[in-house]
Amino acid sequence: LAKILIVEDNEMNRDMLSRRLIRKGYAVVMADNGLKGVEMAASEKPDLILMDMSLPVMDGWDATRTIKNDPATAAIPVIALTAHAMASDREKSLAAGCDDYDTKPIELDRLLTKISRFITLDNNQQAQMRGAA
Amino acid sequence: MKGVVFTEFTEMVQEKFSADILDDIIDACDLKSGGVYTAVGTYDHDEILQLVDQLSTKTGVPVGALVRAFGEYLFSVFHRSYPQFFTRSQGSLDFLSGVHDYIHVEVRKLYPDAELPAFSYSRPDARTLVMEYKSTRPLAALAEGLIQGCIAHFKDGVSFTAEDLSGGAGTNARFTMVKPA
Repeated sequence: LAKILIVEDNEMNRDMLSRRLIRKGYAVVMADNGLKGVEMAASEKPDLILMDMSLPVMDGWDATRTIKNDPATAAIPVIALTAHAMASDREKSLAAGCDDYDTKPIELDRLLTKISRFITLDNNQQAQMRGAA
Repeated sequence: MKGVVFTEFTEMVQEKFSADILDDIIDACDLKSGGVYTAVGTYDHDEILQLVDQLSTKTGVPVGALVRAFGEYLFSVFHRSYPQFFTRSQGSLDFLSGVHDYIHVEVRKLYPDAELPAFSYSRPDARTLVMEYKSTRPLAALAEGLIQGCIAHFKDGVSFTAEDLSGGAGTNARFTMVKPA
C-alpha cells in the first residue's frame, strides 16, 4: 500500500483525515508534532507527507526543512496543510521545501487530486477505491 | 452550518453506533467536503441532511428520531463546552426563555457568520412556555432534541409537546413546555 504520513496535532482532524485516506486505499501513519513527524519520515519512509504547519514542539516549516535537508528523506513529497488561506503561506511553505500546498478546511477530492500527482495507487488499491466509491 | 455540528455528529455516530458505520455513511453520501470535518470549518447544511439520511438507511432508525437524538447529544456537548451559559438559569423554562435573546447573541459573538433559527415566545400562564421555531432549514427535529436535552439536563419535570406547523417540512414548529404544578 502507498503510505501517507499525516503530521497534525489536532486529534479529531487527524482521525477524520486518516480514516478517509484509509477508505481510499492508502496506508496511514501519524505524528502529532513536527519533531515526531521528522522522526517518522525517517523511520516509516512514507510515500508522501501531509504536513500541518501550526504544530507544537517543531512547526511544520521547520519540520519540512529538516526532512528536505536529510538525504534519506529529502525525496519524500510534502504537501503543506494550513488554515491560513494566504498567498504568503503558500510561498513560505514552498520556500521551506514543500512540494505542494492545500488549505484547511480540507476538501477531500481536491486533496486526493494533489496526492495523486505524487503517488499512484497500485491495482489492488485502485480496486479498493472503486469498491469504496 | 458550523463545523462543530458536523464534528459532534461524527462523534455521536461513533459513540452510539461505530466508526465503521460512520465511514460507511460518509462513503454513501455525495459530500462536497468529502467528510473531513473540522470544528472551525463551515459546511453546507445539505451535508448533515445527507449524513442523517444515510445513517437512517444504514441503521433502520427513522430520520426524525436520529435528528432528535442528535439534538439531545448536542445539548450535553453545549453544556460541557459553554458552562457559563448555565450559571444564570434556575431551570429548563428559564434557560429556554433566554435562547433567542441571550444564547444566540453569545453564539453570534463566537461565530459571527452563524445562521441561526428564529424563536418567538409566549407565556400563556406562569407554568407554560411556548416557543415557535422558524428556519429556512428543515431542522425542527434538531431544535426538539435540544429542548428535550435541556429538560433532561435540568431534571425539573417539565412536560414537552411538539407541533409541526410546516406541513411536514420541518421548518416551522411550536414547542410547548409546562412546569409541574
